Amino acid sequence: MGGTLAENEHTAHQAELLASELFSEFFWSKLGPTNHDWPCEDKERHQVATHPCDVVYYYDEPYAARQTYVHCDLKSYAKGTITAAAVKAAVESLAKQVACAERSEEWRKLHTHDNVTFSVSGLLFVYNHDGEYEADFQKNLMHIAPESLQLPRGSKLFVLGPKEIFWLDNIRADIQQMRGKSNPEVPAPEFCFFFHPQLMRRANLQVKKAKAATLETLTSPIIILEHRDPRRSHQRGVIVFYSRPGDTVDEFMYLIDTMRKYELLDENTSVKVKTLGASPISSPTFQKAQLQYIEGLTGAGVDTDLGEYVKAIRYEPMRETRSVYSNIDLGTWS
Amino acid sequence: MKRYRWLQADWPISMRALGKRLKARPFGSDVSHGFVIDRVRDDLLEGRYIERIEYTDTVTDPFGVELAFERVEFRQSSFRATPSGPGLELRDPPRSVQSLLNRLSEASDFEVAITAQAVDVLAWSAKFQSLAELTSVVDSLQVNSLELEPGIRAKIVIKGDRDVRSSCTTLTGPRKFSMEKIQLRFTKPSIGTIIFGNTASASLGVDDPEERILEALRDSLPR
Repeated sequence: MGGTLAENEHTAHQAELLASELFSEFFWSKLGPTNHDWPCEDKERHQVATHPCDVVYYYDEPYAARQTYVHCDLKSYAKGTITAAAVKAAVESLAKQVACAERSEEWRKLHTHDNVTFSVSGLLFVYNHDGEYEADFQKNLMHIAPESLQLPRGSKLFVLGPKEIFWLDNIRADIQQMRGKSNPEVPAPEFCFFFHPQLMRRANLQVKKAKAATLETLTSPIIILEHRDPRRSHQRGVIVFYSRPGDTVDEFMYLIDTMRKYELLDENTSVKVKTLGASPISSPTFQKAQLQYIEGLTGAGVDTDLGEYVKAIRYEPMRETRSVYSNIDLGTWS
Repeated sequence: MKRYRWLQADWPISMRALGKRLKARPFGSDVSHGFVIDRVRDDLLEGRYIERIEYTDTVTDPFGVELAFERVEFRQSSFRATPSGPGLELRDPPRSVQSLLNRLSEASDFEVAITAQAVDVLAWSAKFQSLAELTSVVDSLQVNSLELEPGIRAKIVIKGDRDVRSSCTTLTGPRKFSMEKIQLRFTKPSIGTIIFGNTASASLGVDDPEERILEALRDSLPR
């Protein structure tokens, strides 16, 4: 749990616990040891003897026949300690870790499978453990010059701030809630996968194998979970988690059109759109968008199959859930 | 515009072994040249060869007084070595890459032969067009050594707003010539150009953040 800020052991453990619960729901797997140091490959430039490694996750890439290894730096900060300087230092340190991971024999031996084509990405996970951080976290990233990061060409670095983590944690909680109902809305994990569309210039090569939500998916405003319920003769269902406010008709018409382009609208698929903390008028706005979209297809009063599929989309704002950990409990039971 | 060039290199050692040897020749503040390794895999090695060049720039003012300025330049050659395919890819290479090639050769105990490749640009671009799945048109060609009469040769650039290959065939007829360069222009959604050179070089004037076009260029390069 490397970091420049003072973190007590159990506070740091909170980020680790949350990340573990969160990413397992998105079908990421852990590989290798956690919380260890490994030798720096470029001591002169990096000015350190070792780099920290909190945890490394991996998943299969849908658009390429390779795996992505996510080298994570998990931070658990209180509201007052999330400062631009702290975030900059953490990002710069993570960039150095990723640069070294790309060429380190030791890192490769500990964290990758043999004979696998892979890429390494960095993830800075900034969890606000007191839940009081309300400022715009992304502003902390604006002053970081990309050229100051000593990342190799083509390497990617992702940052999840308190708001993004809250959103993803709510998706996790919502999926588990739907799965745990007496009449489950979502089947067991082996019948679920995150949807990656076939794109114009990029084919989804591993539809069955690449079940996990990629880093790009997790940081996009639309995250789609697809499931095939074995109890209902493998009927297809999709849940579209949408992070934007949902306060305009145009926004939802665009979302509906995106679903059409992704070929999610047909007679054998149940579609549900879910939002979190959306505008208070998001439900009527969505309904209006459905009607306007149907009218836009052929004009009012003409029934079409696609119109029926659009009409059948259900919209449901999510209930907010906040994961809270107690240092006393963690200290007692760990 | 990003420039790439491919050279034929059959590495006698694995990429990891090559990585270790290049790592033993690092670039730093106390050396004038050396390597920085960016990425090592079983099937590739990416790195940079950096040279620090120091020289004195002398300027004479209008009264004949000489002013001397110490200058420092860094020359970087990015490369990608692979055990299969052409073996060595250079990215935005400087005018002379001899120093890089010498050092790579030295690192592999002079057992690697790095040679220039000559390719048929027409075949390369045609294969690229089918692999890249992008709408493109050959809108420019450079023909060299077109034999007009015995002993008299012409160098011609043919440009057009549509495919120029048939005009080129009409112009050259049965005469001998060598096709030096060919330019592909992309139409929507990607806008830009690629120039294919017969020395296995390519200049990309197109946005390619995920290097998919570059990947198609590598895969379509004639063996």
